[in-house]
Amino acid sequence: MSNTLIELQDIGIAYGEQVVLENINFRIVNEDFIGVIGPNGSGKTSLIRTILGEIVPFTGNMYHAPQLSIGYLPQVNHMDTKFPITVEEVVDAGFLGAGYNTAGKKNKKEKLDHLLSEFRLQDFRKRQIGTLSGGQLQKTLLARAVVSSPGLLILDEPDTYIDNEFEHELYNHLVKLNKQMAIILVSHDLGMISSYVKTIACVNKTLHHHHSHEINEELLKAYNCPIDIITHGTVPHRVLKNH
Amino acid sequence: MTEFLPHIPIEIKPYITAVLASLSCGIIGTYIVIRRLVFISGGITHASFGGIGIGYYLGWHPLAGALVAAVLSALGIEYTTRKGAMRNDSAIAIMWSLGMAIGIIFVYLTPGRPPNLMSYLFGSILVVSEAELFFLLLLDIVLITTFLVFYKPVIYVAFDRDFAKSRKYPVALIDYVMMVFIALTIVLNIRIVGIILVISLFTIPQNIANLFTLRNKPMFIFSVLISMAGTGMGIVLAGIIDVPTGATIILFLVAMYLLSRLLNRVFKI
Repeated sequence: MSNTLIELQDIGIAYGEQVVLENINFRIVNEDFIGVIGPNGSGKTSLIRTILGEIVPFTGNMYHAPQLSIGYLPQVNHMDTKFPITVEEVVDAGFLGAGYNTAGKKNKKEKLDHLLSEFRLQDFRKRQIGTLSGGQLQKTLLARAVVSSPGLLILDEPDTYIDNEFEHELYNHLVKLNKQMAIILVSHDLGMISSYVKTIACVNKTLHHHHSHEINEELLKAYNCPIDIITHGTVPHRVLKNH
Repeated sequence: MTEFLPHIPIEIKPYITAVLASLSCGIIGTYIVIRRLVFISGGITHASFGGIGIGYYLGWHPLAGALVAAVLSALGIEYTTRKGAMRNDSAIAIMWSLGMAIGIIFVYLTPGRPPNLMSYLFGSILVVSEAELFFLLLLDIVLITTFLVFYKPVIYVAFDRDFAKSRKYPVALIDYVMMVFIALTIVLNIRIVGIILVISLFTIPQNIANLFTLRNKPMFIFSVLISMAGTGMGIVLAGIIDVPTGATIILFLVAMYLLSRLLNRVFKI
């Protein structure tokens, strides 16, 4: 258990009478980089919200490592881009909660400056978020999620509003960050993430954690996550059926 | 209870009222606008009319009744939204009309001559009492102190509640406290421009400010200053052409908004 960050045992989630997830057994350890895939409505977001502690399961046990802090990157389309807030302030908001009062002011500023330059955001630091491109906004939100050095980083479909080139840049950032923290990456683009993640979890009402980043179609079918090959732009790649 | 308050000469009282009202409306209005709570605030404002009616009926100060109704409806809207018990905009609309209906019934049931409701519906900045100004001053002090001390958490939570929740930040507590502040600000400013028009003091100065800045701190400060200028000029103009003050303030603010848009477009500020 020593390097376990989170463990879900026989967890079931329901909204009212409707069961969304059942028999979930899922362990996240220190060095994990897990790609979570599944068709729309399969319960991916409910799984994330359970791990974040926002949903209380109706059955099962959940273990959270003591003092574990979680960095969270929500879906960009939930953001109010008219909100009068700058890049710098958004990243600073990452100190909210556990780290906000404990980290010294100077320390916080150093970390913030370091991240902004690492993510090549320093020229935009005073810009209001509505004036950024999709990729810049995504990087800003990623910087917010990791500025307080959490033990676990959760990203909910960060690939939705960004172009291919930036997607690779983002995932390369994640590979680097994975040296310091465990990562859970929710995506519907298996073809893209499989070359970056270490393992894959297929979610569809229940969860199968496949302990490799290579996965074939038979296995996906067996896990109840069938995929299609479709073409986005010019490059054919694999995405989930029903996505 | 408020006999200790000094008497303020009638010539300067409206201007003191305008300054005190602008502080609270500028601050809370900016919060309302950036969090997109304008419609909720409209609901709370109209729900407070129910309290005014009940206040008359029970022989209380009408604003005391309005205060209870506004705080209860604010907390009620926040609670139903949180529980997802019903559609948020429908809950607000019901609260909005229920408040007005209760107000009308209780005013009707109150024995004797019907009270003068005009000053609550359309405002009457000239008859604001020293006690009301005292409470407005208290509210300003509490708001300024709260925003100075908790500025960053309030703004960061307002921007992204899901993220704040993921950091185990007390989002619900902040939401409820802010709703109570909104209710208090509405009630204590009703007498300035009235129930029907008070929402404009929470939105027009803020939207003028937003034309010139995309940052939050300047937006708060500009909103307060624009509100002071607008209400002050409204009072002066209403005196000169002898028309109702509340409505003149709003017309002046709208004119300021249109002019600002024009300037903004011409000079690309």
